Amino acid sequence: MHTDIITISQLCFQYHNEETGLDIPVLQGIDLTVKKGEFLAVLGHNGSGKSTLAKHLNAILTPTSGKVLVEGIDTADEKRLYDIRQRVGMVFQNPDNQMVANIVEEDVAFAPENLGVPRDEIRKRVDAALESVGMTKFKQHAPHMLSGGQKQRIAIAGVLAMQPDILVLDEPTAMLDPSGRKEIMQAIKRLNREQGMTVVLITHYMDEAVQADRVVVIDHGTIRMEGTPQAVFPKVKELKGLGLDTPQATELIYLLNQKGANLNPEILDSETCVAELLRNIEINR
Amino acid sequence: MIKLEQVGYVYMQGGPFEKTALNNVSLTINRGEFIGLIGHTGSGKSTLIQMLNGLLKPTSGKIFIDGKELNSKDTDMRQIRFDVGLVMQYPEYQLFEETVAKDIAFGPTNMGLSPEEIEERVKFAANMVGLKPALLDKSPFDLSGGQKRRVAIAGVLAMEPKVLILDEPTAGLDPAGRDEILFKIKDMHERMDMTVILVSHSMEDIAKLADRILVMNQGEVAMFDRTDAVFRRGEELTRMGLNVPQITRITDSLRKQGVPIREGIYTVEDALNELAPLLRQEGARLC
Amino acid sequence: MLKDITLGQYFPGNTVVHRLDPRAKILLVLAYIVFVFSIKNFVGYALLAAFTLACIFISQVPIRFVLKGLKPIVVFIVITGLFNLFLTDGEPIFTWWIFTVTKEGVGFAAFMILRLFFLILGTSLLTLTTSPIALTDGLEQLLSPFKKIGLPAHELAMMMTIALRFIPTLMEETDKIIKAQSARGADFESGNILRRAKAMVPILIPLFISAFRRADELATAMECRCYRGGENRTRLRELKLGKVDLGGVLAFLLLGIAVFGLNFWLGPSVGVR
Repeated sequence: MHTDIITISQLCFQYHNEETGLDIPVLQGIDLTVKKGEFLAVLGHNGSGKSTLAKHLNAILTPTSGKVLVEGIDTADEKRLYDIRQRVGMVFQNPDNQMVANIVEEDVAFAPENLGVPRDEIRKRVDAALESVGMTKFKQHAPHMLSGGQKQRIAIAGVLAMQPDILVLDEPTAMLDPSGRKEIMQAIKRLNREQGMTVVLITHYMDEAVQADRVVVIDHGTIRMEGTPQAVFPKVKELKGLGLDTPQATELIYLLNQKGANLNPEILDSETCVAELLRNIEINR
Repeated sequence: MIKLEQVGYVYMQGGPFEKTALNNVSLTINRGEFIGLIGHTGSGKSTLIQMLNGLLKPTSGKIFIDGKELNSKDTDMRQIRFDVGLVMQYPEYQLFEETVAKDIAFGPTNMGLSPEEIEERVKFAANMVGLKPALLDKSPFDLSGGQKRRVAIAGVLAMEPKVLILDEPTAGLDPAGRDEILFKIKDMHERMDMTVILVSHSMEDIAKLADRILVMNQGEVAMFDRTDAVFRRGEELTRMGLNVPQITRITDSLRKQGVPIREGIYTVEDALNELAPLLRQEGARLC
Repeated sequence: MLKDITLGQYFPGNTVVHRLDPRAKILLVLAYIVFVFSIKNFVGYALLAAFTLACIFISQVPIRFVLKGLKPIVVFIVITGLFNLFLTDGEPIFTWWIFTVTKEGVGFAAFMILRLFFLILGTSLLTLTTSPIALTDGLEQLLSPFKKIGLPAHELAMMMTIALRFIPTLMEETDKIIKAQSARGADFESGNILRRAKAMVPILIPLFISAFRRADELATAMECRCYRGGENRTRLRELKLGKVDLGGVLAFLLLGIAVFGLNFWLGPSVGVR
């Protein structure tokens, strides 16, 4: 967890609006490093610039000014484009719009085929990728017969087959139902814990960001908060001001403290919340 | 207002892929009620709401809307579509007109209303969902995601239905967008005296708004009761693969360990009011 | 519901017919079509019928599935037959009102019907026993020699693959949009053709917009997975010619010899041009 795998310095990005003739700034001076093996959540409301930031991590977009380095490679270096894309696997919101083939294993094979990987090696990679998202059983299925969560797991397997060092997921659960969301979060955490995959999760769901090692909150194209979930979420008022939620447990403790209680504010889940409350409530008074 | 008598629905009846989506559903919803409808994917809730405005015909049983029997010869089924407004999931994908105003006018135009009446209703509906008048002449495709969704909701609202059904109206929206839509729905319910059925996966959203909650499980009604009474049955909900709000889990767990707080707490405010007096701070009670 | 329609009419199996290399199978079906149009007498067709039946039997595809392929063009076959029956000059058999049926007419009509019948049967068997993706792969490889003259073989195959992948998705979407507009009182059933065509607008526009959005997102996702055209691309699935294919070629060779032999020995039947 010590080496920096992505270094972003003074990243600015703007796009030109054809109708008004104005340049619209989206990212305004982002400084951020992603460490090898960490699970980083980028939290922000719609239009905060978080998806634009994600697209800079594998050179779909390149900075208007500033620099993005992936394992030391400048994303603006067009000659290294595919080196970057192969290192940074990208998963998007809508699983339907990421799948190319109408058989699961053919779809997972798409990236290694593009990279010119030899046939035996493709086979190995496809099997390994499907295994690590728990979809081996479905390798001969047609994608449209699967549930949303299953489709999104196939999409993840599709980028894992490139053997990337970093997995970037841009709101991967926004279109899924609760069980689908759970499946994806479990798959991501497993990849991070068991295979040491560096994960960058772009989301507006606080309950997903809570599960990360580190959270970055972005608003209007700038980083507004950064730290462990335990450090970020107790700032309930600040987060609400940015149009974001906090876990109900954290909010409850925060509100009780506002009323003069003296509880540990760094609480995110129900178990620790209950323990903290019990310690402070005198039942047999 | 809405009455279902032993309603069932079987997909592809008689075929090799026959599948029962709804089984023997009987229930009554009163005028002006706000109903939260929950259930995991495949529980039959989508089938149920599509039947309420005649998009699907039940394969058995009867449905009555405002006393009229659906799919009977004497009932004008198009009128039912106008009486029971259905906002489908991701409704912004149904927008097609050049301007926001024209799109909202699609429903009222199909009703055969006069141009003046239509204009009136478009303005009213747009205002109701919080769209500024300046947006009415814009193309719906130039709007943000949250705005598009509000245009789509206004399009159904402009038909002034007696019953408004919304299928996951907050799906994919961020917390601010979600709260705004939910607030507007609550506002509509109160001001227009509509019966509202809100389908959602989010227990927190339902908890904030619903008078009664209808829980569907495997094509059957698992629970249909007042909101606090439903959340009192947290363990059963969990077994059905549904979540209860985190706050309910916390208060339930505290109660089990002997803390004297009431059952059926489902908002942070309620929990706060119950817990504050129990916490002691330097000898003084909090209040 | 729309999404339940099965596409391409692939009937999965693991028979010799299924295992034939798609390239070999496409070429063999082309040969089959050549035979169908070369046969000049009824004995030839009897032989072809026996051969085709044997293939269907080996493939284990129920005969009714194969015949289902004929359904959409039955009317076409009948009309073709009738035209030829009445409009062929020659030795009259009987005359009724302005219609004259000739001996040549009967023969020619029978031949046309047989040709169309076998044409559809042969190609149906190809699509029934070859998965769409294998078919696409086969076509891509068969067309690849023409790349030199500018034929975009890889791109064509890629487009076919994506089309196959997205048809169910778009079907489902159409279903949803129809429902959404119906809920707003749209009426697709009444009125004259013009009104009905106009009623389609609220379905088509959202569908097009969504298709373009999907295309855009798919293109980005493909770029993210390092797609850069057909060059230096490897494939998961290898097409390999094996014993089965050799057997197939031999069987067809024998059939070809028999067909042309019969043409030569027996000469054309009545009415054949």
